[in-house]
Amino acid sequence: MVRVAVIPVRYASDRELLEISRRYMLSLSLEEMKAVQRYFRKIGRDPTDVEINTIAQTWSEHCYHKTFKGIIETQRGVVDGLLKTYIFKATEELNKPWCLVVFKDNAGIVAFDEEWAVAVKVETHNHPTALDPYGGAGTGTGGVFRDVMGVGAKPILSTDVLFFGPLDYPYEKLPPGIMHPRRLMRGAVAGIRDYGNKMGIPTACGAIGFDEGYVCNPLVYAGCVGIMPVRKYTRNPKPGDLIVLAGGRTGRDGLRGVTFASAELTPESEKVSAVSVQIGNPIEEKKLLEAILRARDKRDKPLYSAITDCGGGGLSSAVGEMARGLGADVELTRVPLKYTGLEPWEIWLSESQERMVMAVPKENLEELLEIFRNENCEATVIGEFTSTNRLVVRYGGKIVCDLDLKFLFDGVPRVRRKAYWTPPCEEDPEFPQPGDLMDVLKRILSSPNVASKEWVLRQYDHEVQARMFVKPLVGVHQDGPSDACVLKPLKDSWRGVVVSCGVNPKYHIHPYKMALSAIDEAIRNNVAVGGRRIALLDNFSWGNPEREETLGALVEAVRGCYDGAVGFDTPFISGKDSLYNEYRLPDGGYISIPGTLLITAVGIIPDVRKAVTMDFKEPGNPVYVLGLTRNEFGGSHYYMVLGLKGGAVPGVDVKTAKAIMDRLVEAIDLGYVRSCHDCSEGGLAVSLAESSFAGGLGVEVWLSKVPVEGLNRDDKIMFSESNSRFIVEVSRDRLYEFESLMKGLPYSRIGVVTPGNKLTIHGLKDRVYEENIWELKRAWKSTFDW
Amino acid sequence: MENVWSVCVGYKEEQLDPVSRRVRWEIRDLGVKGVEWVKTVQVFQLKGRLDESDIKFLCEELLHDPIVQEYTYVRGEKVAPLFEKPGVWVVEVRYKPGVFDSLAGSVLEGAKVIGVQGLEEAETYTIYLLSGDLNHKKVELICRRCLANPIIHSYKIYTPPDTST
Repeated sequence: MVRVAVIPVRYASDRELLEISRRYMLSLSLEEMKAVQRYFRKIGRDPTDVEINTIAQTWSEHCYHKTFKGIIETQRGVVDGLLKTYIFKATEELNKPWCLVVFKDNAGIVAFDEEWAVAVKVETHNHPTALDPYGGAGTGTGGVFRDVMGVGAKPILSTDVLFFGPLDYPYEKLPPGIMHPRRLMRGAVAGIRDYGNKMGIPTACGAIGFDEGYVCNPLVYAGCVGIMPVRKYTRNPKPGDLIVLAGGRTGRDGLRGVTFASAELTPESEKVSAVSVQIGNPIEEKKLLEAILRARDKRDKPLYSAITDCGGGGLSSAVGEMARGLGADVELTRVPLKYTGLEPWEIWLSESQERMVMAVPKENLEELLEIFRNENCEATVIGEFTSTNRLVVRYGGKIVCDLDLKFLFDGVPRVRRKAYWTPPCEEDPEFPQPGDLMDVLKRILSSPNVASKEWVLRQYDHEVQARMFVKPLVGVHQDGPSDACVLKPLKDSWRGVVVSCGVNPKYHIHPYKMALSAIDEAIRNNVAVGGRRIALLDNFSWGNPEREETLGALVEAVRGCYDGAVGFDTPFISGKDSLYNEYRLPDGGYISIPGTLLITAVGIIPDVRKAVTMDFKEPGNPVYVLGLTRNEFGGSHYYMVLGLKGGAVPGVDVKTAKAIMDRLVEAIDLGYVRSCHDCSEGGLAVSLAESSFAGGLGVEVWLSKVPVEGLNRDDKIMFSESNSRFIVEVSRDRLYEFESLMKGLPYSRIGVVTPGNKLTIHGLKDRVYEENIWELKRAWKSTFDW
Repeated sequence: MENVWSVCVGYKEEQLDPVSRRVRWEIRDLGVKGVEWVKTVQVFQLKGRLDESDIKFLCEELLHDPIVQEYTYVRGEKVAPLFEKPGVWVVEVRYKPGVFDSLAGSVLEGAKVIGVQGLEEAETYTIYLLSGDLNHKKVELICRRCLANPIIHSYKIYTPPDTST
């Protein structure tokens, strides 16, 4: 008995339309419901549940990015689409020939060398992780692997950036239905670990941050880098090609995950969202990966004409997207199920993991199915692409969905929203310099955002595949924090991929500067090991964009992205946004995350053997600081540990920053640089301490030598978080060459690497601050000594 | 002959049991004091045309690691009584119906690979044995905070036989 409900929308009143949207969990607005109503009035019938769910999924914020494509009224005028006006525009203006596929497919693709390309994608998986940290984070990782597999690339690196509430958050204060940050963090780390390790994909490069704003809405950014031969890329489905569903079986798991992702969490979420939780099975995905790679490489051209991941929105989204401009005819009874009893709309929308959809020319079918059989991976023909421009779905022959693809993809009314933003007060608080600055340094080193994440990193296998050249932990004891990781993807070439990230939600009080800072940090980390020709990915996690000030902040951040990308000559190649990261309290109030922008940078290094790590290498080598140190303490760790508020968020002088970075890369290539570390949270003092204890060597520096602008206090020079700065150790015998290369830029020789185990900082007025580096290291490692 | 067997796999007494150790640490870390001893047991509930020799073969070849683990099995679904002892709280944590059990999937596949054709259905769950200064309210709190996620798990607490209620 086929259970297909017909939903009477044609004669529904506004109130009834909203009621339908609520009852079927469609997350559609009145205006969108009205567009649906108009369409079905025109064709003279009411939609089935399959149809209305297909529309809701396709039009969801998660799939369609309504806010980023909408029209936004700001104080600076009307923005006609954030993506078009800022993000895409930067890429278009830079127009790099090495950007092969940008913003079009599952992942961004850039050239690696003449023959090979690198595919990159970063996703968010926030809401599922809040409900089930292990399953949510794991499937987030599995999903982003499939994005990279969905362009035909082999995953070679998994990255992850996580944000949670404070680990010492009191239980009494936890809102109902919310898990403690400690549990969330452990669950998420275990989920990421198990997915990557079991699939044999190294996990490295990431960050973990803590802030009260994430108590109800933890953030999980999962990223993946893949490698593929350039000529194996194909996305060209033709009418008559068969639709093949491969991988895991379909069940009820993850139903409506997409519309759920576009809604706020409430105390009720725990009860109603049970089916939205996806459970991963990395072994299944490993088989799928092997089969796809074999189908890709069996002949000169892949056996499929197009391939995509079956992710958010399930088949409806995967088949729908691929059928765009063509048409498709699908028979749902052919879909292999985990158990019986699924209704047609459930099969069509299920977000069961480890599934991919391919378009396969008929003449290749047998060969392809043979490969999948050999890999013990199920693959089934579920339909055919047509040229009708209609999405037809049948169940046992009976049509349960027949939609015009043009309406489905272009019929969504553009949202129109207002945005408003008030610049924050950036005035500095008055306070005397604390007496014991080394104690402050230790407090910053042990603060959770800065402290060593070795406990996490050691659970991830970063050695599998044997491609990791600069690892996440470096130095004499292999526990210093690497700025970026360097991979050597090919056996017969020394050329490497450099992956790094930049994120600092503490700067969210000034989103424009936060965006510039994140870009600067991501590129800075990349350059610090020797990366260049950098491509960027943007991932926004924000609150409810229907609120003017929240959207205003988002617009500011996106504006910063454009200025940063163009200024640094680094195009965006892919991105994703996750909005509505809010928790609605029973009394109607809400808790929103701080607007968080993650920038991932992917660079190239011509010879991985020339890569530089951050640990000091040899006593007697001069130590330089590149870049200006300014009075920039807004959102800084220094103010945080002192309990102070205010101060200017670090800005970026893009032109100078770029000049410094270009010159630094040159110095690295010429072999002048022995170690290099970027300055970020906690400033100069933290970077010096990290380089010291990572290298097991002391350092002696003079603050009077540090190039500053408007600073005359020891504490401020030590802890300012100004962007675009590096600590560079130069070979003793290359000192003059290095200095002549840096001529004209803000830089200075501030001291020397010493053989002892002391960090010695000479203040401006004869004061000397000194601490044993192993004491500093103990502070840095104590927080996560689990 | 269609029947149900339950196989329980745990670490040997004298072996370091990292799983149980971690659980004990996590309970303490999540703010519940008084737990002195924890042991975890992985249960495989197997259904199909299986006789005792099949079960023994599955245990030996698939379900346990002979170096560090030991196993026991019973006919039927009830295993909690096996662990009932004075002072020991038994907690059973299972997936809710509809949540995909990937470990069970691997067991089904593994059984086929080693030639046990009679296995038709598998379900896995975990039993936690807890002892220390505990009462029902505290164990309930441990379940909610640490052992079970109410979104995907159901749990059942067995009070020790000697506890007055």
